[in-house]
Amino acid sequence: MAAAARPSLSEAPVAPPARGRDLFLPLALLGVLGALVRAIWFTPVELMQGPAQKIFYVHVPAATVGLYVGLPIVAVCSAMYLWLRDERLDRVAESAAEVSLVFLTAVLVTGPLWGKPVWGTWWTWDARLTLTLFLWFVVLGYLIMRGALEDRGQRARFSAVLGLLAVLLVPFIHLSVNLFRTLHPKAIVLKPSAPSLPPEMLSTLGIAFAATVVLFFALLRARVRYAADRELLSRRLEGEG
Amino acid sequence: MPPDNGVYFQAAYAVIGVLYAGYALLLMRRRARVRKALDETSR
Repeated sequence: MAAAARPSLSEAPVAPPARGRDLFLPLALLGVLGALVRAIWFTPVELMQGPAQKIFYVHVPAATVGLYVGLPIVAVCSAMYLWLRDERLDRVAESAAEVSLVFLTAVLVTGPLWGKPVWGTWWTWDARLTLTLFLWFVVLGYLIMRGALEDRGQRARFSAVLGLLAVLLVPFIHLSVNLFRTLHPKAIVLKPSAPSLPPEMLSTLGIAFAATVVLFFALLRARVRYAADRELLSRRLEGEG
Repeated sequence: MPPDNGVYFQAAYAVIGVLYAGYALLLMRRRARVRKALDETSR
């Protein structure tokens, strides 16, 4: 029996461009600004680490969102793309990868700024830091590869496989502080027992985390819309050519 | 007395602000450019 024919990628739906001013993104940025204001002026200074500990309120949410929200979206959309061959899933995976790269960059910049005053060094080649840097390069490679491949189907398939492989690093990064000797502290919030933080610091972290999650989805939405418009433009130009 | 290392967190917050707002602006500009090209092709 002949297999049911899948629609070709050129027939995959592209939504018409959404019009109107997008207020979600500016509001999400304001939310992050509000969380920073709370961290700076309304959260106590930690006695041992000093004001540098406040980097915690941007470093941890960026890491949590990049590793545990963004990259799983890349993996799920990549797996579903390989199954359904729906180009919209490829666009969401691509967009989530790019937005996750921004958050991973935030992690890799704020980490050394916290490490220098607290550990006495900007960087150390331990498992957590090295694996995170490696993941950053893998996601960057994913985006560079997408730019290098012209055939839509090939680009989407190769990207989906690389996206699935990239996310395999996430559990290793999470467990690296338990599996290896490292300067990086163990989890103080995402752990089986209660969080080891005073309530006022925990509430600031919660607000910063919520604001970062909202920002992630605002950026993802804007990036997916851009990808859809770009696709539509590309098809129109191909049609004209 | 806690150590005087506020400059590190100020630098980190500045980097975060530039990174997040910069990327948001970049996305808006990229989309505006594509929308303009779409409008031109539909004429």
